[in-house]
Amino acid sequence: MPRPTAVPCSAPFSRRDWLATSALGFGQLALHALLSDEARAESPGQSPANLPPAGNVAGGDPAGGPAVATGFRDPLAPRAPHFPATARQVIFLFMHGGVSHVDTFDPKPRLAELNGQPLPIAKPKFEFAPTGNLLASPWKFQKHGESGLEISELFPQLATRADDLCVLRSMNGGDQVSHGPALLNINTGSGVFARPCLGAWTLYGLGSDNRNLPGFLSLSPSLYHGGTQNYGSAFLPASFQGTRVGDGGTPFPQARLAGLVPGDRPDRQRLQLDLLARRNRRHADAVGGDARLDARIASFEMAYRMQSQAPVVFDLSQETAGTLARYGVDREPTDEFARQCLLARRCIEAGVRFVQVNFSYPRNYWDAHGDLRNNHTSNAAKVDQPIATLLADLRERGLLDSTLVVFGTEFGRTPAAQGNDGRDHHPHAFSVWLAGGGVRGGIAYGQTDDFGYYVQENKVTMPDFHATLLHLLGLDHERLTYRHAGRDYRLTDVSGQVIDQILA
Amino acid sequence: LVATSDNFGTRGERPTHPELLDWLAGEFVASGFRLKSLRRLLVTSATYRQQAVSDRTLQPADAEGRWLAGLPRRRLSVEQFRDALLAVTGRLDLRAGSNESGEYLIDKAEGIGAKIRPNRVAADDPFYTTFIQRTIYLPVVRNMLPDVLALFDAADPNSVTAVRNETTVAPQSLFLLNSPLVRESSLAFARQLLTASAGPADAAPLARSEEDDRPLLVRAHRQALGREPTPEELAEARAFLAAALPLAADPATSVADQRLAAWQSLCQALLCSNEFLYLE
Repeated sequence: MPRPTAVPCSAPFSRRDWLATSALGFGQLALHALLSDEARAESPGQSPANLPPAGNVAGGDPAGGPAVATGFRDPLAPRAPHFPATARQVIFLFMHGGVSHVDTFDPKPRLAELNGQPLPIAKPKFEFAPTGNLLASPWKFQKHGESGLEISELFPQLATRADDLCVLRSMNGGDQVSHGPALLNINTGSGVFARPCLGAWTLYGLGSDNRNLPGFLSLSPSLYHGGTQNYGSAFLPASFQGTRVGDGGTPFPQARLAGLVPGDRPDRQRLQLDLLARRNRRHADAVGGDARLDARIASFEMAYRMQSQAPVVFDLSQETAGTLARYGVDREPTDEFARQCLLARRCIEAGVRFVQVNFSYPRNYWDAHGDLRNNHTSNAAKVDQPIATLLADLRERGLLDSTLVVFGTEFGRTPAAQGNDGRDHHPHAFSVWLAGGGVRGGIAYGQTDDFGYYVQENKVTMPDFHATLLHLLGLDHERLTYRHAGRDYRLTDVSGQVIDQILA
Repeated sequence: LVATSDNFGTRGERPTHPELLDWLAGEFVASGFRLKSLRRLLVTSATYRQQAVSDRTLQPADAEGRWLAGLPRRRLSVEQFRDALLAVTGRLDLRAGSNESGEYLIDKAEGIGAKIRPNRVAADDPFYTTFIQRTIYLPVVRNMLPDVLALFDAADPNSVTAVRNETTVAPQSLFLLNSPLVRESSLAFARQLLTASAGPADAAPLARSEEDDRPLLVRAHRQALGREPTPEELAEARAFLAAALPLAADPATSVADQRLAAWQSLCQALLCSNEFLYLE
């Protein structure tokens, strides 16, 4: 068996040979590789599936193993997908706490008819907490758009975008009935083990087009329920982890991108970087070719550029008053989520691959164990207008076709009441929706039973869901693998079926 | 000695030096299965202590270095780097362990209403950049790996990792440029140098001759890099200070503070250098 090379992918040509005769030398090459903004896709043969097994990235053996670093490939360089993609970028709107499906996207008239009566079928063997009789939805559903997709009155603005939405009504979260494992399940594909999240896999598969911003941002991720693991890279290299902007406990207007607040005056920092670059250049030349050293020289230049350019993207004041108002900025209750959605659109425009927008604990959550009416009314009012505007805005800017928007939550809520007026966690059946990025709009896929208790038709497991998202990005979930601990890992582990019926 | 460190099974690779592996195993058994002794044996060996070689100089017969004709240049792990940073800047608190740090996190968690859940203290909490004991004593909260560890390829505390990845990305550089951990350490380093320098260092700092800075620069290089500066580096550093001092001019700060800021920036450049991070 050939020994794996020291870097996750092999160069298409011998760059050492080229460098030996190149007047530019290593530094220029690495600088160019790291800074180039144009989509510089690898040749198709260099798809992620062909990456040699990892756990052996250059010189990573703390015990001083025999690996010698010879080359450096920028881990974030844009890579061609496995096959032509319909979506190039993703906005994942994550609704923390568990959005009730029977009150939002999965209308159940029988629930109203049998309000206050016992569920006529068997309840699950295990319930997170005991539930009582069926509880009718306090909200009315109506058909919307040309498609006639039914959406409840909780989302009047989003309903105007009904023809863009593909609601998956038959999501099944397996046995993950509490928030932590359920969050990990939807974000990483495993509620039990430490696994890379969806955004990390995406970045691993496709790289990033904009080198002056992180390729994967998570806005206001919660510190709860799995915390950093929900945007982490686990065993994938750290370069694929999500970069956090604020956290769930911090009001979004105060959220900052970590590390971007300059630690010194810019003029002095520039002088310092020049000094550092000269010293590093001399050192690299003296010790001989080691592309890691060149990569690190370039990474400081890139950091400096990121520091000056990221704040521009983050500066919402560059938007017109009309746009700000349309999203709901500077107005309650939409201000915070409007800022998040608007920033997400700006990041997509700037070429960020994956933006997760979190509506999250401890300040925002859909976990309506009691007082469902107030909880969901209040939360929907915060997100409805920002999300509807985001979809419209992306459409108008021609970005929705190539941007996959996902509205997800860790589980649904029980059709039976918890207490008098609440609903408990419900992973057995729930709804999420997709829009743009090559998804058929104006459809509902899958079906639950008359009460919304169990999936009746076209069950979508978490691996199915993930396989479909990767497919839209042009990635084959069975080929997007990473060798770790002696075997190849996938986001979808050992299952997952792409839902062909929802592809446009 | 086995490239597939997390797979010694049939799908893993064969050891490169089977006899050596056998001998080491024998020593391990003879020592009473003591891991520390084994590690000491390894790291004090002539092979392990070889100077790093570049791929350029490796012989074709050992193009990947697997026969240990030379050892690879090694990047310090985040623990080693952080400890080294604190040590050379004179900040390292060598006390072992710390209940206080765990208690801090718990107190802080209580302060934000999270009771005994320190994972709800943010990954960039000032605690993580002001803690100055060795990194081995930095509390690792399972679901809240602090930025300093997460950025620099620390292993995920939720899983078993045989060999860490090694990545080089811009957010690491942003951390090194802007994090209070590095800025404060650089400041401590600069202050220590200036305080220790002979004579009235602060009397007329801008008027000091180039030769006056020489002992400080020598000391800075010895301390951070374990060697003397070259004449070129001396000249370059002086040029940097000469350029940075007028920049720092700010009527609100004293001349001594301006000088300190320039030296802080210079010290930080040494600590950010590849020479500091990579072990030859």
